[in-house]
Amino acid sequence: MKQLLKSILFLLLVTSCTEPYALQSEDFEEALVVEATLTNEFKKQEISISKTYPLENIQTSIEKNAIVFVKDDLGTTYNFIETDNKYISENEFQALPNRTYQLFIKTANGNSYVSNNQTLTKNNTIDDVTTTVRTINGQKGVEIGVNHKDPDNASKFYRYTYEETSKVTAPKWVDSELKLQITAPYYDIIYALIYFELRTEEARVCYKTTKSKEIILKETTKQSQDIVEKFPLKFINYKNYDIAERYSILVNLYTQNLESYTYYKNLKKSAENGNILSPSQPGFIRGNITCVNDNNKKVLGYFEVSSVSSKRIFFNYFDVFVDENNLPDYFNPCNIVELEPYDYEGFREDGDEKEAITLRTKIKNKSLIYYDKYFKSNGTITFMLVEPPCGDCRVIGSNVRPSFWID
Amino acid sequence: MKSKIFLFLLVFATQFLFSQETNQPFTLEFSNQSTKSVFDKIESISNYRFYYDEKWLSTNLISGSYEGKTITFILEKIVENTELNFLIDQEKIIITKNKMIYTSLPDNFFTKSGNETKPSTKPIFNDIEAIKSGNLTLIGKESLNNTEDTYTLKGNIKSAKNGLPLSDVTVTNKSNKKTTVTDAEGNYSLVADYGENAIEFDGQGFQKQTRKIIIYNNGKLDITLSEKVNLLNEIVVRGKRRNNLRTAITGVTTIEAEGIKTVPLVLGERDVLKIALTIPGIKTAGEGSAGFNVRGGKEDQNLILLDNATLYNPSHFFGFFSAINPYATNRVDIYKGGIPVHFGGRLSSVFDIISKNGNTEKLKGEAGIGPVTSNVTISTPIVKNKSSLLVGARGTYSGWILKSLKDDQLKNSQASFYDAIAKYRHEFNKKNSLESTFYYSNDKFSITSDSLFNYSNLLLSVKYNLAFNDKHKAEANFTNSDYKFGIDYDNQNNVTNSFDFGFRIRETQGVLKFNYAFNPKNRITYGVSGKLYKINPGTVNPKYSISLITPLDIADEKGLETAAFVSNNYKISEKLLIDYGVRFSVFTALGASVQKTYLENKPISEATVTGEKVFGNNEKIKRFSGFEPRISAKYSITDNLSLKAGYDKTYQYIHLLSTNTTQSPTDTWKLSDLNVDPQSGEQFSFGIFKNFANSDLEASVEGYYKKSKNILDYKVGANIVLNKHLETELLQGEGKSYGIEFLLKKTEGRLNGWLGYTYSRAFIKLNSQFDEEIVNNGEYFPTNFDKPHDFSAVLNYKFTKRYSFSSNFTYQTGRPITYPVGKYVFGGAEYTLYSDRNKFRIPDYYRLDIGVNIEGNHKIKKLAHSFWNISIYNLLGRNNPYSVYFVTENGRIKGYKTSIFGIPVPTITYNFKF
Repeated sequence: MKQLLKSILFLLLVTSCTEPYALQSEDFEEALVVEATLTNEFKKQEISISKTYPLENIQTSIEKNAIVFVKDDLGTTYNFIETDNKYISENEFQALPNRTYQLFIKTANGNSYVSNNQTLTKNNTIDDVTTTVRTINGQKGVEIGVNHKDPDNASKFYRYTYEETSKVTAPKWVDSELKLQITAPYYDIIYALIYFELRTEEARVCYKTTKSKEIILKETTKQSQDIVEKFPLKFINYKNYDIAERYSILVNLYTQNLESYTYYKNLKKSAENGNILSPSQPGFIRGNITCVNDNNKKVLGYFEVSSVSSKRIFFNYFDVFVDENNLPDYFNPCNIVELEPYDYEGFREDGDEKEAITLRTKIKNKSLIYYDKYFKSNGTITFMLVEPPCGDCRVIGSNVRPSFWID
Repeated sequence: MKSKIFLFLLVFATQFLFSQETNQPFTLEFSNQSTKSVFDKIESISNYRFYYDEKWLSTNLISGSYEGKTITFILEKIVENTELNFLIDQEKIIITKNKMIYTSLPDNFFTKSGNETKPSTKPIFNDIEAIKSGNLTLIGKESLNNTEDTYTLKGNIKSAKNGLPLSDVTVTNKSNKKTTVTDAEGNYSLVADYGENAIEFDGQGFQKQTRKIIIYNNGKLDITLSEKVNLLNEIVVRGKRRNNLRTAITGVTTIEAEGIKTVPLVLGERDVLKIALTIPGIKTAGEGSAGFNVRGGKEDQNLILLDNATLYNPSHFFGFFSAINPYATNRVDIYKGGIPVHFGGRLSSVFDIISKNGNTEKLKGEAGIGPVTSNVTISTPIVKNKSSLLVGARGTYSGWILKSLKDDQLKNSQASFYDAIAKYRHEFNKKNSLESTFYYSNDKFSITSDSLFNYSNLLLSVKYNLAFNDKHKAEANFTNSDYKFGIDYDNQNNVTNSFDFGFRIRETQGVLKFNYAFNPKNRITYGVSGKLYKINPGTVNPKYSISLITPLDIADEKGLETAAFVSNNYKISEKLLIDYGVRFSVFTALGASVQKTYLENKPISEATVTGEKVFGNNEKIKRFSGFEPRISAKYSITDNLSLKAGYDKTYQYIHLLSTNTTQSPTDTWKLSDLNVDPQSGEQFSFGIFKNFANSDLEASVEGYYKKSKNILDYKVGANIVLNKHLETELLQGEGKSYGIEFLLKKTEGRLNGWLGYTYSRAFIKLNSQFDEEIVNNGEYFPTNFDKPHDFSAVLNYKFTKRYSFSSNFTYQTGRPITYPVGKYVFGGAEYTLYSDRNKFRIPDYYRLDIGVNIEGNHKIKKLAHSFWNISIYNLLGRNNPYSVYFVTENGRIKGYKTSIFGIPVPTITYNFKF
């Protein structure tokens, strides 16, 4: 009986089963996605226009050949031209206070979209970008914060983006690299030639730049004064190599209005997982752009006109972590792999082989790169190889020194 | 003595022709003496001898003073206003009850061709043997002055078992086809034609009784009904029999706990509330979901009462079982429409659960053993024939079963529950009685090994019944409900984030209700009620001192709901009955509280807070009031066919907070306040009810249209737990639902059961002047529980008295869900585009359950009466989806489907009664 009871209860608990549920792609709904923030900077303004893509796809789809322009209340039209998957304004311009702006889009399939009227928000200046050493959840690190204030106590809603740049030096960089050349078949024999070549491009010092992806928002409605102090934007663990050599962060402060703030807040929430206490009801988050010829057509994204203030800071590791004695370890342990060049296994015509472990495969795939060599007593050469990030910083960042960079 | 006097009657019936009166004057004086002692006195001062049955004489004391009056005059005075007649035959005085002894036969007595003469002049001859055997009862005093064609028969009906009055017993005069039902105190009143009538008494669960009566005048007939010895299997769910034709209100169903035991249910748990789901108009969002959706109403719009105390969470074990112990339950009255005025505070329905009364005569008990729970119910008299105590308890063994399992995760998980009920009833006298119920239920479960959820209901109800007189009665009721919900999150790998979460709601209620039978045509109900709510919306405390959790206590909410109500049940004519009334409710949100104020003409959001208003303890925050008219009318086209229509208005001041698509035990409640308006609803309903003559077949078609306002919903991504700005996450929209419900029911016979089909829709509209408060373009969209087609069949076939087979089939349209229809990149990150809310549906739901019921043998002198039930739940093994959800895995969105019982589940249960 006990066994029976057990098995029945077991059924109760385990018959509640979960199985994959086929996503029906015929339900796919195409909608326009607009990401447009006009700022008070005098520059070529940018607007991204894309489309939703099916759940099973990976590639985002850009909305091509759309007519895009912004019109102000004086009738001035600013045209945007499609360039590199973005729409960039024909001329440089800046959003001005007390003007209202409206975004117009006509897509290639004939749909017309229009935003509501937006006015430039009040300009606020970042006073400081701060660095504070803190321990959060037992993890030591540096917290990048921001200070700003609105003496008029009027702005209240803020959005931040940032762009981090780290200087990275490849620890096992050498001035030459191994190259591979496969000969044409000569009486059914193919030769693979491995040879040295001096590096012609910068590969030792690079600059790794990443943009913020998450939505960072702050409001001061609950405060008596419109002051933001050391509002945390980013926390970097003290063992993260990003800050080891020299680190720079550019913080952009967008002053938002209530509506644009609420849109971003809801979008941010929808992407976060609900906690154990309150799972969320999913749904459509409405922006301020509507389809003129089909009012029920969903449009994603937002057109905002925001004052922006930017500030960049630089710091070196020991400027921040004054108590630390050692720099963080490099991204990669840079273990050395030794390989001999000789092998006579069956080549195919494309120069590939069955077992992809040999030197020439590594060189061909660029999965290991040259670091050093030595000769054994029998005269055979052994190559010492490392993973690419250790010898070629271009794997991590750009070898072009950014114009803003100050050492 | 009895047989002796009948003998006299026989003799005198033929001999009285020769009797004569005496005119000898008498002097007699007596005060406050019984009739018997007056007769004795007459015997002592004269030669008269009285012949009578002492039982006939009333115990009322009489007084009189006579000087120089004839014996006839004196006796006429004594028997005035009694049912007694007398005949003086020389020195013998024959007292008769009801019957009058005729001194002459009617003129046409010996002429067989004679047509019936007017009843007033025609003596009624009847079968003495019938009177002797109790099959014929004489009502009223026969008198030569009784010239009416019809008289009123009144009486009281009691249970033979415990002497309690029986309400809702159908009393039918078969002779003139008039019918009535007993009121709450067991009283009835019925019109009978002069002369012989056959009166049938039919109460649910009691043996039908037919009494032949001879009515001479207005009179009384009290009846005791015995319980049906073998009602098993015969009745599954009994609506109030023929009640559908009698009362004015539509949308009422009664479920008898005893009647449902043959219906196969999951894991053999007899469950009155789950049976409710097979009744048209009552649905649930999913198999394991707690809560009901009645006629398109949300889960929080049902007032679930156990002996008048509100039960906030009527479910056990994620909603698989209801928290009502079926063995201690008498019945559940479900009002889907036409909610009586003395109920209020919820929009959609009332589930009025009435527990069993204990036995006042002897110890009785019942016990059941099932795979998940066992239970025992014992009832005992405390003071014989006056007071009784019923105690019921139920527990699950799932706890130790889980622990004995090998799987580590299951081993560490928990699921256990128990509930207990005690009911004490004391009848001081016929006019005063007291009832008191105590109830406690407790649930513990864990989904993951680090979090333990628990909740409990504690209910207390005290009721005092007082009858001022036959017409005017009062009922005073005090109840207290205490519902707690908590989460104990204890993760040894994450001690700094371990916490205790708690929610609590307390409700204290007092109701004073009066019933006044103004006259036979008007029955008035009136009264007042007051309800005090106290809610602790949530507290979080860290479990360990090194915690990162900041202790948080959301300020308590307090509110007082008061109401006054009056209604009249007015019988305009034999064919037209109306029940009209009004409830006026007032809700006051009380401090201490800090309420936020928001910018006008801006959406309520954390961003638009303008300030705070501070309210002191018991200070009025905001007052709402609602005028709730409730009207229903019934028109009987024929005895077996009637039409009904009704209109109801209801207000609700408390709201369930749930962002889940189905009700879950983790949901909490919130009171109306400065920023949250009360919900209100209106329902128009109509119905056609037909009973087929000479059979137990009943058919009904009911339709409704409902509109509601300020239905609570949530913004996308709402966070409702521990939120200090809860109102910023809420939306209040309009609801609209309509439906038509068909029910065909056969209550008796070898094949019994019912078929129900409902076509219904339930929509909600969330529109606003602000974009972020608009859902689905501000148009009506289907609610989470909108399941247009709903068919259920509960059938029971009795092979023999001991064996029966039952089956239960359900088909429902799949419920609506919000489905991802694409993804997009914004600001460098990937987001999901969801369809319009509830645009898609999960696949349809259907399920067949079967069961075989075996009664123990039917020897009367048996120690215990046993009952076996073998059932298979979900015989077809249909993998009904419960929910479909989507997660992002490795950057790609994947869908999953969860089902609860995807395979047939067999069960055996055993129970016995003694």
